[in-house]
Amino acid sequence: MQHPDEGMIHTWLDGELLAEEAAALEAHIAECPECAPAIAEARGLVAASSRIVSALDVVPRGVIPIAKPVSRAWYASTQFRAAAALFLVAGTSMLLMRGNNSRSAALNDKPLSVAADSREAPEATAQIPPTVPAPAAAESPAREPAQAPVQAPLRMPVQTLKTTSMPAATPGFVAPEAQSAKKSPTSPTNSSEPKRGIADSRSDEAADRVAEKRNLGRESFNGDVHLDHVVVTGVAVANESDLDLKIISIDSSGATRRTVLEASQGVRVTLVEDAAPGYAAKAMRSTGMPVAEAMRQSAASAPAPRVATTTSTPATPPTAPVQPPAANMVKSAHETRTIKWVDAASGRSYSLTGPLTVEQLEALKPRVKKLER
Amino acid sequence: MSDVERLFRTYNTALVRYLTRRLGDRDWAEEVAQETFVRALRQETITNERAWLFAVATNLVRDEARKDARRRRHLSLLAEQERDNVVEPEATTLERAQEAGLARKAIDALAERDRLALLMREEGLDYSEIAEALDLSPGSVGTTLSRARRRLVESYEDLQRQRDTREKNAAS
Repeated sequence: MQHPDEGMIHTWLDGELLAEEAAALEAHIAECPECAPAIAEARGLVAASSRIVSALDVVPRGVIPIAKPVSRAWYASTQFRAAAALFLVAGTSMLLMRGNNSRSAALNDKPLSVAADSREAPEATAQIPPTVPAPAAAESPAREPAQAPVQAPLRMPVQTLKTTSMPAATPGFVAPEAQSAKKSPTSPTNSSEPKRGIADSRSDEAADRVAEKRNLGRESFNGDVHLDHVVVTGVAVANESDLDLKIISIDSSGATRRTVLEASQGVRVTLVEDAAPGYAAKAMRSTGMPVAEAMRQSAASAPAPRVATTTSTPATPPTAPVQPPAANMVKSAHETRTIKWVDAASGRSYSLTGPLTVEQLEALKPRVKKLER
Repeated sequence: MSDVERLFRTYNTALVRYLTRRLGDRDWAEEVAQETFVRALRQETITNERAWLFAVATNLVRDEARKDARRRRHLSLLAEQERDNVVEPEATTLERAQEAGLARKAIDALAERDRLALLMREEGLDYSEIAEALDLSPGSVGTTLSRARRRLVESYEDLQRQRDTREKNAAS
């Protein structure tokens, strides 16, 4: 054979040459004085690079002083704000269309390739009503200083959660979402009273703004935002919120799996999943939970399909919450609470336990469900 | 369902180490590793597990890095300078820290694909896994690694020489 090139020498040194090729190469270099230095150099490079790469392991934690690098800034990016504004416009205009027939033309002259983008738009618009305040806060940079500290960060995660959860959901989910949106555009599926009031008044402002926007057309958006990309970017960005739910440990025994997750700074919740309801009680007791708690849970899991111990609307598909998780991640009580549900598709029952209020646990549920899907 | 548990136990350490070496930040590395396993949960079956995990982790890094590239580069340079300025009492610690700093700079000087291939190889991935994870032809992995190793060592030695010159000048 001819002199082996550098790539082949490294392949041979890495033990990745086929038997015949290796034999041929070894036969060659045994007799070729010219190749000896090349082989020696290659060996040196392999060893030295390995040593250098190992030196990279000496890295103190948090050496790059950015706290939570991605999860705070993503909502502020131009593309996301444009995406949010677009969803707002799309959703609100569809709402207006439903609520008022004379405005049916609104949808047609929308520069919405998003609307034509089949799955994304209807799902996104179904989600729009309860989050109207959020895009409203985001879309005008001038208002941001006043609102960003409190509201934008809090509401943004909710909206993006909702939009990401939809593409992953089956088409069957879209219908109930659309219906509930139709019934009461601004009332969320589960929330507390005060928040609902705010949502109502803000949606009026947003509606007015939409009317203005329609007239402006595409010029209202940033020049370099392309509608085709907007949807994809929105989804991609939103996925990063998954990073917030950190797996601490996973334990399986029998048909039960117990996962400890970190929901936010210092707040841990436990997800128990079992294929057969009867196991729940056993698992609970063996993990050292208070017996009363365990008995309550096993009792609750015994009856049939829909165990909705917390929500006001029964037979709700796994909807995203209205209340932003971040806003409620203040420990209002140190009591541990549990929510339970059954996944209709798989028949598995789940329980989520943690030092959070029931609303907060419910808020975690969709993110948890994403883990289980 | 103990499948992801097995995946986690088998590959998490290697994945975090690979990511730490790539990112220079252990917290960030762990976050990306977590996200990778979350995605693994959603897969019905994974044919080539290690290659798949490393591919997903790599793509996650790529997506994030694209957005924050400039900012992180700047800050990592600042951190690097800070590290250099620290006066360590112990000779060994200083030496290790300096080596780490040089290694960081040297590996950042590589092309992304070369860098990733080398880091994967150092985690024990074979050529077919690297090819799959990076979407390369298996035949080109050897050439990629040879180039990566050569450039890494050359950069490192250059940096070492520069540092030695600086120190010599500073001392005189």
